[in-house]
Amino acid sequence: MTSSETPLDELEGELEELHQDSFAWALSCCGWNYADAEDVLQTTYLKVISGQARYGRRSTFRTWLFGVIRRTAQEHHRRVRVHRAGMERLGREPSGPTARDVDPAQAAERRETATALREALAGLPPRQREVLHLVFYEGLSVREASEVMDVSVGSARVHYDRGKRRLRLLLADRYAGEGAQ
Amino acid sequence: MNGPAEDRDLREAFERLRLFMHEPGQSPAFRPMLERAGMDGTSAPTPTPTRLRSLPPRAGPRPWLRSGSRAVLAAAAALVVLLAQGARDPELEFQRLVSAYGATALSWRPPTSRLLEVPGLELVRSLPAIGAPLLDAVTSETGDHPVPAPEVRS
Repeated sequence: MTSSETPLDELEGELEELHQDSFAWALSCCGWNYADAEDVLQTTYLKVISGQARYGRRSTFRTWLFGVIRRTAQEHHRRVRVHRAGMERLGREPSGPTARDVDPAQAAERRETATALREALAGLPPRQREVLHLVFYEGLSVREASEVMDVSVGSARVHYDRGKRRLRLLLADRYAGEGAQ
Repeated sequence: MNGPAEDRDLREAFERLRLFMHEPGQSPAFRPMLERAGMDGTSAPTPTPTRLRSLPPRAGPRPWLRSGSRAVLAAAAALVVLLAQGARDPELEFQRLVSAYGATALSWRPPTSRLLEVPGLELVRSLPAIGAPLLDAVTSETGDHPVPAPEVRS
């Protein structure tokens, strides 16, 4: 199946099914900047639908799509670094949850945990952050994560093990700091 | 590598993050994003999303240009390597020095060589034939017309 050969409805259906996970991955690739993540995901959809990025069936559609998102994020960062220097950022602040259907106490706890994890992840080197997000958040195997990251499986495993150790330390430091306050 | 049981703490933390991200308002809606990208399902748009239109186009070279310039660079590098190797080859260098020396040695004249160029030097350099007037030999070499012999009055 290629992007150009797949019926558009089917392709859009697959993209829609993966949309939330794709956005979370784009966020992770963009350092949790919501505006950049939206740009990256929008550009990724454009590439997929227009056939600029073609699915070659060498991996699952999900793995392939995440690889496209990752590369698009890298291109986006390069472009932004070069052309946006000195310009005011156009990004939006992340919109908070509407909390209509969510228990406020649970939502607050989740938000707190999510913030702690995001900040701890931000303290990791990029490769470690990527592999941990792909494995623990997106549910990919280390092998699939290595395909998304375009590194060898062995290298991905090293990043995975080191990342877990370091993330635990960062989370422990954070909670210890909060306990001391 | 740790198994799933040892990673339970991390899995739970990521699960909370996942639940948080799935709350309403955390992710942009799919359809509007697709529409912003120009995807109405009927045409392939130009690859410029609305938010990126304010940014200058990417300055990177085209793929074919990139591959062409790579080929030119590779050829130039190969040429430099070959030239460097040729210059370093002792045999070639020796031959070059010998030929250069030969050319200069044959063409070199001492500054005082002009002092040896005296009138009548042709006589010394030529070999006169037996029976022929000496003057003929000289004129045939120099190309001058022979001086006619004075008439003898009887």
